Amino acid sequence: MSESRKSWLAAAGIVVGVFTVYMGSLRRDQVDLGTLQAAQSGSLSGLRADRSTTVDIPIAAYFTMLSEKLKEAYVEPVTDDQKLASGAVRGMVSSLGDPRSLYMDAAEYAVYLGQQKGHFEGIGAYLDLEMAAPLNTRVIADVAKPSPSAQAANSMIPKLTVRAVVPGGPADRAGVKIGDVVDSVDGLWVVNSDELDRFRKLTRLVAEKKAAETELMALRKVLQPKLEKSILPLKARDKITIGTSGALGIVWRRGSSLLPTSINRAKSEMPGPKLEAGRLRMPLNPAGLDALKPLLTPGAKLTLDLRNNPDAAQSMLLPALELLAPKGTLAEIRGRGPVSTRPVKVTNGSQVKLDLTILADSSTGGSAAHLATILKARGLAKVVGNMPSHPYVEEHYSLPDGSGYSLVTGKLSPLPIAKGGKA
Amino acid sequence: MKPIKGLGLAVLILALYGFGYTWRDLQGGSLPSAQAVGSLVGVTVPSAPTQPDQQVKQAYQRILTSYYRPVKSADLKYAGMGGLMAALGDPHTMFMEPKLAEDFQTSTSANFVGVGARLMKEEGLGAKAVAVFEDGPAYRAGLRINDVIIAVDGKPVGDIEVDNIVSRIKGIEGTTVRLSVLRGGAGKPLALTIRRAQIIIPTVEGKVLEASKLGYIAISSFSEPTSEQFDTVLTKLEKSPIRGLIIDLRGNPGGLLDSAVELVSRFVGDGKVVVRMKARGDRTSEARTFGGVERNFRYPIVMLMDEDSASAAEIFAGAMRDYQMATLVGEHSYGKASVQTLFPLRDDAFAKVTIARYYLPSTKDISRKVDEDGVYISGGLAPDIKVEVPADEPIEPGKPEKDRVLREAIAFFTK
Repeated sequence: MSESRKSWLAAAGIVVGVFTVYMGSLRRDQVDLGTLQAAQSGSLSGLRADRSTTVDIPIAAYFTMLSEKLKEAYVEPVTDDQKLASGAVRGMVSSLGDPRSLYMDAAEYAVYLGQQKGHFEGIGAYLDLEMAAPLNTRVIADVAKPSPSAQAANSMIPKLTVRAVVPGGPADRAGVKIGDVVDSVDGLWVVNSDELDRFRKLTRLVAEKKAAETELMALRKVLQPKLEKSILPLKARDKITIGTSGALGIVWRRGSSLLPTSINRAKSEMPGPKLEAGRLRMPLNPAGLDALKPLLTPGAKLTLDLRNNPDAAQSMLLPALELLAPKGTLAEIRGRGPVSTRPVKVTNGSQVKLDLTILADSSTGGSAAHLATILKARGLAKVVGNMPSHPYVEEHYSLPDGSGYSLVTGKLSPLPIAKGGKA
Repeated sequence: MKPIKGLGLAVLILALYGFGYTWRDLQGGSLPSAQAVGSLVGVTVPSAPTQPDQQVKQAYQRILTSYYRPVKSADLKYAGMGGLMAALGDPHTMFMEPKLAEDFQTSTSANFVGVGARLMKEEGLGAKAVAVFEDGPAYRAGLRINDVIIAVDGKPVGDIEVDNIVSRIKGIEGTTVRLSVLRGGAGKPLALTIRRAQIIIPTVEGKVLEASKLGYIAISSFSEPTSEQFDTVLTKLEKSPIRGLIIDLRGNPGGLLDSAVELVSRFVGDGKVVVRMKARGDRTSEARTFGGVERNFRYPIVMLMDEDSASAAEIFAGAMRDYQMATLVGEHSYGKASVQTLFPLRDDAFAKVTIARYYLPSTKDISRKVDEDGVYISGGLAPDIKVEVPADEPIEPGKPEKDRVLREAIAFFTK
């Protein structure tokens, strides 16, 4: 064996060796995180804190250190490590200030998972947290200084808007409509971004001498009593969507009018699949897909009713696309950086040509909205109805105590036809 | 020979792969978990529930790598630690990240480098000195109350917010700042050069209410120098013939417990219980007054409080009432019946932890009770004379004509 051949072999050996170690660690990232993304982003870059001037204590060690401190010093005995861990997760997730990335306690998480399957509690409505611009906390605190609810409000004051109503459910029978906003629950005003935002803007205008102080005082006089009897939006949503007994007095805002209602909490279900005159009401779940399969004959003229799917599970997107789209990469989910972009790839697909129309409105959310968006962009279906854009891809994870959290992991964007091949 | 070579190579490759797979465990000085090994070879090992610290780590890494917007790792870590401490449901047990911890220390030791004056916006001109601390460098250089600062280091400050004016005046200890000052009547501004120095913020301010011949002392918080400042102010007031004393604790959020004990020692004799503390496992301790600082009060004392009077302020007021030294006027106090300690952490952050609950000498528990939405139900010290102030009534504390609670207190002395 010549010398040069030997060194080439050695070099190749080193490369293969390093590559193997790397592949091993990559696989471990996948196993630990259980997400596709970690594998694609390659290394877990950015895990180190970026403050070189201070001591950097890794998170797990920090958790242990603080838990020990509390066990040793806190005035009551501390025994429940799980409570502390869930609290830490809650703290991290809430710091994102994102109404779609939420920590949920066990009761909230159970309802969240149920809603994805069409099972509802409470008044039988899906309520969205709509965010306004982030708020200046100090101003809120100023409005009603001692009110702890205002202090707890932090910067996150979304408003509660109805996005779907279970047909025939308690809210439906009480006349609640999509787009209604919760103004108060059992006499407690739902702290609401619009009005606090108005206060903030007015405060700034007064400071800049562009508005009269009397105007500010007048608004403050309106807001103060409201804040004294108030409830935070997330808590109000719990009251409205959790539980199967008891009546709630809810006042709704529709346009400029207020509608008082009294609604009993009860179990309710989104309707299952139903075919009527070439129109399939399709819940985006396994039963819905089963109902769809026999209808997929070449040239069939079909209307898919995707309304009343407010939060269809992310896992249903690919199975649905396999039935309705040809194979290929149809869309991308874009995460934080270019490395975290994942393809939405149909492996087998369907070659059956359909004359497909989709009915969608604001009750079409989650993967149902993604399905409609992709089919439309690929020229595979017409979408009828006013569906707001829902590009966010939301995953959810559970913790051992039954609580869990949702996390937005990317934004879906359909790929144009030219790139994906034949249309 | 060949097959053995090939086998050896395969084993080597497998070993390297395994090394890569377990690298992070080995780095952390531990062996990989059974679950991790199991999933490598395709076997699902029934998982023992993930350890709490690992759950936190997993969520942390997941958010950093998977969340769709960039997140700063240090911020995320501190938010997690904040959540951990909030999980106990005690509003006073909290995590303070390094920056916050620094601010907190500044406020409890009451020192900052400035010139020793309190300023208020004077529209269009600059800032008016509403208080000039008599021991401070500004006073020594000639700044007096009601002077209007119109320029700092030669730059006009007419259209600058007062916070910014203050930060221009503050600076490094020992350096100087030049102020142009307008004083009532004088047409030409005065030029003052002031050397910046450590300032001890007065927490005690007093005056004689001439019309009623009462002493009035407002204590804004309890910090290290509070009791000495109280002595100084009171000695000055007692030069006038006062027939009673009003101590204003409204808005006083408390502070150092020792400071409250020192103050109570001015009023009652040596060795009296000021507060009892119950810590973990019913370990109890007491804070008692000490001798040598008692003063002779020949007149009645009234204390003013509101819902923002908390902690050390409540201990002070509660103990004074329990020893029948004072009458409480105003609204119920906040009801903070617990003691916290700051534990410094290795990265300059702090853990503020409730280590004990306190009880007044009369053994009353005054802790605040709230409903699930945080709305007040009960707790705090109940006033002897309740005075409610309408929410939209403007107040200027310390001015009887614009201070309803103070008027009621004055009325108490005339009865």
